[in-house]
Amino acid sequence: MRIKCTIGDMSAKKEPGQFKKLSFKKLKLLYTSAFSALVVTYLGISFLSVPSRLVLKKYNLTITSYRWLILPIVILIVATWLVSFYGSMRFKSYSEVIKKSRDGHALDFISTGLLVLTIALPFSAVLGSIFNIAIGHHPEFMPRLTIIKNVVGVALLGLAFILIAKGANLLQNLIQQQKRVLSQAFWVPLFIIASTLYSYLIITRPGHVPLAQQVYFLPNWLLLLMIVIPYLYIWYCGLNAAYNVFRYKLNVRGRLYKSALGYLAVGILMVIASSVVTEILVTASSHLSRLNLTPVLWIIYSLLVVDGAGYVLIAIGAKKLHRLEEV
Amino acid sequence: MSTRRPNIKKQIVEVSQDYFGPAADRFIDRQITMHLRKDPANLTSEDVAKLIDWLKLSFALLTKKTSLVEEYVLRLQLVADGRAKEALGRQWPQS
Repeated sequence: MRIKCTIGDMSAKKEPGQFKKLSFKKLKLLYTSAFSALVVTYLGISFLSVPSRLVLKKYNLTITSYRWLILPIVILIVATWLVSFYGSMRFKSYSEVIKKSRDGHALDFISTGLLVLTIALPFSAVLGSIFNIAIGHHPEFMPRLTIIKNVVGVALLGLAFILIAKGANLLQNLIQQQKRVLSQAFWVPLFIIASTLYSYLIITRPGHVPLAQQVYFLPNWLLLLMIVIPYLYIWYCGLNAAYNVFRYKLNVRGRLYKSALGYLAVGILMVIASSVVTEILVTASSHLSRLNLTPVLWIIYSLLVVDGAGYVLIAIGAKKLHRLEEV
Repeated sequence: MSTRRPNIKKQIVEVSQDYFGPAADRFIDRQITMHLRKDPANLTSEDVAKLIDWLKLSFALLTKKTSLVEEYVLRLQLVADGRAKEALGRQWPQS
């Protein structure tokens, strides 16, 4: 005998909004878990693994003194990642609220791009650390693993910047007046000059570089195809996106909106600029390795501070914009 | 008898865009829904006075500049009085 259930509707349909809320919550949980796992893994590898003998010899360090030396760097790096996580999550939470509107749709792309950029940092660091351990045991893997690491780095950065650029382009459709921040006649030649210098730096690597200092393990033509051209395109996308966000901020109406957006625009510019400079320095690492430890550390610290400050500004801007949607 | 001025909500949003930008539409809809408890599309002239009171309160929570709040309220009152052209004139915003 079939019993019909009459107490309430057991197959009650969920409201569409409920599904959407659940998926963002799940996504947030998944992202937070992945991020936390990467940070913990990085900390574990940094302090538990045995450092390279080459590095110890170059800077005249013991294992213990090496670990004490990297402690502030690792703390600063992890602190920057945590700040990045907070800033990008804050922005994503805001863009999720206004996702259905035109400006929300555009800002959602930018916030997703920033989330990708945020998780790319610990992911690349963990990948690099694991590969270094593998190379320590099997030096013959160095070229292969280095190429994989570089390709993954390009792919992640590319995905992040392309998403940010797409969002920034969509923002341009929302503004009527088109006041320019900088004349195109100025920054396009500037980018061409910078690209030429960058390509020159890559190609003119010292002739007999020891194996451990090589960065790419690729012939010049493949290096241009797989690293230089993609990076130049990605950096163009990123810097153009920062420019477009500024232009949107300049031209959009709304005193309170513009004031809050200003923090976001400056923050995005700082994050993108620090990311670009970091990659350029990695490229020029064979030139940097001639410097003493102190200037190298100062450069690393400065970039981390700029990156962290950028995400702090993004968090402040997102909070102020979110307030406009709550009151 | 309540009178619906089809453009009044549009005019209020237009004024609010000078302060809220793309968030203006959402802000106004939210104030009407939450405080007047009605569909934003059904806003009438009789509702406008009450709406302006709520907009003033909400706006004051978002900025410390009293001159900006006063300017916003003045422009909304011009819209309520049927002087939308004045409210949307090029001389605004002044603060």
